[in-house]
Amino acid sequence: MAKPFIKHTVPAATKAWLKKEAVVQKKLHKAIQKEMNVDFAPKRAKLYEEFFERIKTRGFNVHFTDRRQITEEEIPTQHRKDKVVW
Amino acid sequence: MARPHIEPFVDRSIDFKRFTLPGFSKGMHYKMLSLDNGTGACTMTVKYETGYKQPPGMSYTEVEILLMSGTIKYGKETFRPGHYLHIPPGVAMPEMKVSRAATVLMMYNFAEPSFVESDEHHRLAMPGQLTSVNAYDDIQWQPSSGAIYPAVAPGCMLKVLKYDPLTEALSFLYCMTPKFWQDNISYHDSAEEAYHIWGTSHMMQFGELPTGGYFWRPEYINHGSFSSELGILAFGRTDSKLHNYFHWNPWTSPEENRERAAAQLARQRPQLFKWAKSPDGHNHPHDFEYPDAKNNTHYI
Repeated sequence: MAKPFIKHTVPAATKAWLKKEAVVQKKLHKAIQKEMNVDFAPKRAKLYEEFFERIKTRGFNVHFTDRRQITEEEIPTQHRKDKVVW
Repeated sequence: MARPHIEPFVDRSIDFKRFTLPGFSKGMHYKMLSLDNGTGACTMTVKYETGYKQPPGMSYTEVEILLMSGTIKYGKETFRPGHYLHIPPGVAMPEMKVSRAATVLMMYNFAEPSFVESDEHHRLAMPGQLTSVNAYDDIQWQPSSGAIYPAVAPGCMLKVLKYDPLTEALSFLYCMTPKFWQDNISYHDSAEEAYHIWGTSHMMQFGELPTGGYFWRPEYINHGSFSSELGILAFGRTDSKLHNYFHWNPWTSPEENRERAAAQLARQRPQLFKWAKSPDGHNHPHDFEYPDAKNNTHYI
C-alpha cells in the first residue's frame, strides 16, 4: 500500500491559507447546525411521524429487497432533544 | 481535529475563490467543501480556466479527482466528464492542459493541497496504484447488494472506483433511480462524504440535497430515510469499511449508535471483542500479513 502522504515541509503561505479556511469552515458548521438543529426541526418532526407511519404499513428496509412491518409497540419514544448535526 | 459535520451544503450557494497556493499555476478557482484543520486534508469543487496549464508534477498526499465538466489533457491523454483519477502520493503526472474550462471534484485525502513540479516520481511513490478510468463509460452499475451487507434498497447502484484492501475504504459513483425510496435510518463506522453531480435526493434529517449538494458526515451519525423523485448521479467516499447499521429510532446519538455497533461486534465476534477491550489496556493489534500497515495506511 502507498503511504497516505509523504513527509514534507508545509510552506508558510499554505499554513496561512489553511488557518483562514478553518475559520470559514467553523462558521459554516455553526450555521448548518443552527439551520438543521433549530430551523428545520419542526418540519422534521412531521417527517419522523410520516416515516413511522410508512414503516408500520409499507415496511422497514432490512436488506436490499427485504422489508418488515414495524409494530406500534416498536415505535420509539423521543428520549432527548432532536439533534442531527453534531 | 477531524473535519466538522458539514451536512447539507450546496456549493452553488457560494462563489469560487482564486486558488493561489505555492506551486499551483494561475487560473485555478475553488470552493471549499470540507477541511480537516489538523491535517489540511480537504475536498473542493475546482474550476480551471480555459487554457490552464500545469507542468509535470506531484502532490505529497493522495489525491482523487472526478472531472465533472470540460476537457482536461494529461500528457497525450484527453479526459472527458466522468473521468476519475486516484493519484497516490509522490506519483508525478504529466503536463496538464485545460482545453475547455473544466470543473472537478478534488480531494486531498490526508494532508493539505500541494504541488511540486517534477517529471519523476518521488522515491516513496507507488505509481502502480494510479487509477485512471472514465467512471461513466468504462464501468457498469452494480447493485450494492453485491458489495455490502446489509444493502441499500434496489434502485441505488454503485460503481466502485477505489477500494483500499487494508481499510476497505471506498470511493464510488452512485445513483438513485427516479422514485427511489428506502425507509430506514443508517449510520456507519466510517466517515462518509458525497457530492451530487446531478439531481436531488431527500433525507429525513437534512431535507433536500440538490445538484451541487455535498456532505461530510463523521461516523455514527444517523441519516435516512432516503428518497429521490427524479433520480441522482453522485460521488461518494468513505475513510474505512462501509457497513450499514440500519434502525428506525431517529433520536439516537452518535454515542448510542457506536455502543450499538460495539454490542453487535461483541455478539458476532465475542472472542475478538473480549481480547480487544483488554481491561489492562495492553493488547495491541498486529497483522502478521501486513506488519507495516500502521506506517502505510491511515487506519490505526
